[in-house]
Amino acid sequence: MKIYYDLKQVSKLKDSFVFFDTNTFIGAFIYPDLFNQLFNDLKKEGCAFLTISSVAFEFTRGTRTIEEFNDKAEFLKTLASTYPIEKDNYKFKELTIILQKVKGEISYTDFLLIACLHKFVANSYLLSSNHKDCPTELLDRECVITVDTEKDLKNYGLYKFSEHKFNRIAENILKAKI
Amino acid sequence: MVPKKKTPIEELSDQLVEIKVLESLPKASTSQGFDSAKFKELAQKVRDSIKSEDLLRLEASI
Repeated sequence: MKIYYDLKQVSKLKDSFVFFDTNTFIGAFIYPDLFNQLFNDLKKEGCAFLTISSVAFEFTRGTRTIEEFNDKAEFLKTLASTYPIEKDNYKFKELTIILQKVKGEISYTDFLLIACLHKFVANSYLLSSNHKDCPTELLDRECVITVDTEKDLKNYGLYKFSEHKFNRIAENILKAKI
Repeated sequence: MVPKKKTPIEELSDQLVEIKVLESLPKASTSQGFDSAKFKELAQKVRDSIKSEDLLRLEASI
């Protein structure tokens, strides 16, 4: 098993916040040796790992026992801090209409993760393997990470919010109104 | 004085790990290094506590 990524791209993330999607936590506990390498390289660049409560809910979904819940919760909180983006919800009316235009069926979790990238636009990234829910109409995919599990290839992306794309979509929405 | 008997919810709450949210954002540049040994140990614990069919389903989901 191997993990592939461009170290030069990773070094561009110096002192950044990296938000983890649910599938990142899943990949991390299933393939810890591979993710250990990536997480070490990100930490060497001074990155902080974050997530949100909605991801914690998804990650613990399907839990059958107290032990399983506690093991998952301990894993999640040891790996990443949980940022309360929900308290800023009232600030995201422009993002809401723009995301609903480019990705009408987006889940609330994905909306909140993108809201985190929007709030900390200068130095935050989202690490996710769910590419269809990371709209490149609004986000830039800065780096691709391939996990070779021998029986399968799994691709993760590091996504960054694009202010340029955000403004362009706003312009289009305004034009459509005229 | 007889201690008040805990409700089932209170007992359950006592047994569950709490995921607290941040009061303020950490400074990325001063974040601590990565504890590989702890990470691998906790990942193993999660794998051990999950039924094999659930593990396969989760693996397929990513």
